[in-house]
Amino acid sequence: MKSLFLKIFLSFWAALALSLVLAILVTIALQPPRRGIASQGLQTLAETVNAYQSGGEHAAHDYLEALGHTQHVRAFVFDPSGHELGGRMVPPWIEDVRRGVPPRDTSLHHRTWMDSLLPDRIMREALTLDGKRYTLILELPPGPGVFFGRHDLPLLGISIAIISSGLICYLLAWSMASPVTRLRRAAQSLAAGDLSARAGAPASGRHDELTELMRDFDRMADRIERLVESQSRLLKDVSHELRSPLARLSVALGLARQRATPEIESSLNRIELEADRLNQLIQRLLTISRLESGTDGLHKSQISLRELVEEVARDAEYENPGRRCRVTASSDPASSDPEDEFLVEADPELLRSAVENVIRNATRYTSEGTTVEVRLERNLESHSKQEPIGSSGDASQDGEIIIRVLDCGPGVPDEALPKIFEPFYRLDDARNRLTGGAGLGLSIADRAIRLHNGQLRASNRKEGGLQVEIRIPEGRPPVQGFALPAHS
Amino acid sequence: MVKRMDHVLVIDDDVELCSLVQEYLTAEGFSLKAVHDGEQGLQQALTNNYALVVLDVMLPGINGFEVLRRIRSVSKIPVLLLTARGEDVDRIVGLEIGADDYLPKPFNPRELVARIRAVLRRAKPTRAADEVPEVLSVGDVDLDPATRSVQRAGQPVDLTSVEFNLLEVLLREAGRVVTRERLVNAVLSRKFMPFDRSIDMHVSKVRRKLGDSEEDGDHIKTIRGVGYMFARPAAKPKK
Repeated sequence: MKSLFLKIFLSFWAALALSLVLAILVTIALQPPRRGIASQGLQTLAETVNAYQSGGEHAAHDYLEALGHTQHVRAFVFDPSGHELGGRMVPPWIEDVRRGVPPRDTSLHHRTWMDSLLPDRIMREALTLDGKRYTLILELPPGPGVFFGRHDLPLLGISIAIISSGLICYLLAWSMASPVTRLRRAAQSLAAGDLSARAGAPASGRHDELTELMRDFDRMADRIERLVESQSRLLKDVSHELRSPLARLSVALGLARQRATPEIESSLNRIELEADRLNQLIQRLLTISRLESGTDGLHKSQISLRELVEEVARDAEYENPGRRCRVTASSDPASSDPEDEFLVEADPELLRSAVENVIRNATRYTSEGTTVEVRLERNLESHSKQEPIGSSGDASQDGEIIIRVLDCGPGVPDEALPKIFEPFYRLDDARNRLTGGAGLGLSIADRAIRLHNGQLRASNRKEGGLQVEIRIPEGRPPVQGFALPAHS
Repeated sequence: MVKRMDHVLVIDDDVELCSLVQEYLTAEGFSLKAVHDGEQGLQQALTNNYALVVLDVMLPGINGFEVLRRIRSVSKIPVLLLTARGEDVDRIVGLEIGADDYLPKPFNPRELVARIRAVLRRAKPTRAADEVPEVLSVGDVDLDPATRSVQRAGQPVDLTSVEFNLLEVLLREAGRVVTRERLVNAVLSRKFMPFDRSIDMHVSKVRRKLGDSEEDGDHIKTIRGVGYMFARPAAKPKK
């Protein structure tokens, strides 16, 4: 932002100051040459005397005034008795000069302040005509010295020009740059999830393009806020609507079972299975929509990842069908000490759901009799920006905690690695029901972790099986609300 | 287990669902009354005619939690909440206010019956003849199974029936760790389902109601990876 302000400020200021300085220089350059006048001193004197002799005081007066206007000089001509031919008021210091008192120096005390600004270049000429001695005192026009100063304030004029132009330009630049800053701030808040963020344009008053832009932005933000609210309301209503028929279906199914004969039993089982799947699907869809629209908001608190992972691992081991596999949780001794709790600021429900989904995925795919390992690690270095295969979201820059989930299953083909975090993506198109699920678990985990500025990465293990890393940055607080999908 | 004609109140605005549930529960030996809004439900619940209330949290008008709160303010009647599946907040808030257990919709009616029976079993104040109800005392906590009352440092503590049962189990095993699994079986009378946090919720509620012990911190200690334990004062816990 500073650069816009500086650009406007500096360029206008330079233009203004430059034009002022140039104007001054041009004015000086246009001053009539002083030597010219100086050499004409005698002639001036003679002509004045002539004018006086032929036309009297009036003529001399007119002549001298005309001279003053054209040549910008002040001239006084005196006859032997000290009488000024033009009949004008003579400043005292000129009298001094006439009488022969040399001007002491440039700053004469009697002079007015205005006079004292002007360097006195005084010329004095004498002429004898008809036996009478006439004296001319000429005050030459001010030279460039007035601006390039001989006084106590050097560059006074230039300084005034520069300072005043600077002030004006500062105000101009600020009045243009500050709405832009406000607009930017509001846009950032809105993107981060604060739907009430506005640029705050005054309701009336300014009508220039920038203020209009701010008003347009506010109108746009209003619309977005309303859209999101109506969407979340729709979501709530739809979920309620979907549950009701399913609830009735379940009870009706139960009733059917109460009266069922053994032949019908298997059909009823089938119906129940499909009803369950429908149920799960709806639930997961709702979870994903909620996460995407950010209507849940994040409720941060401090969580021990170690405790979370240990609990989930224990439950997953207990739950997995037929106890086919074991699940172990441990922490990496190389990067953390044994008492390390791996504390983070995060939303407990979201984090739990993410870890659950990843671990359950592992228990689902791992081979019979194997062990799913869950390892906690710390990574203190910052990461390269390059996104490796099969990752989602943005890489973090600070220290982070990694939860590695390793299974002994078939793994995932390399080209499919980035896709496994997409909703509904399943490896085999036949939607293999043995492994269950609808392909949503990992995308739920992915969105939940991205809301915490973290990322999920999947890779194939050398010894076979899949490795999924949950990377959670420390330090930076999680983003509130929105998490727009980072990958296409 | 002897089937009795337990009278059950169901508060749910879904009329069709209620009639289906009625059919099912009647076949299982219950008698049922269904009402379809919160106000009526509240009235009925407080008439004391029922052994148990099944309450849907998603009621129009006065919402389910409010009904629960009002019931709890005057009665200890067992309440089973029907919550929205996937809405953890429903479950957490419900247990907070004092529901005995919850069941997400859509549910398997078999599960509903099982939970109703479990809740009713727990709520029975009388015990089998061969059990002598003696007061359990550990530290500053006294629990009387006969009156189902609890005192802490002489002050009465108000617990729901689930909380009471939980405390009873822990007190009987004071100084020893009780696994979560066992707590769920004994207290909630159902199979331990992984990823179900309701027992932890009940424990934290009991903790809060008991307050700090004179010694250090909570009466009930969490043993990570295993379960919970009621701490004996100035005695080492046996594993």
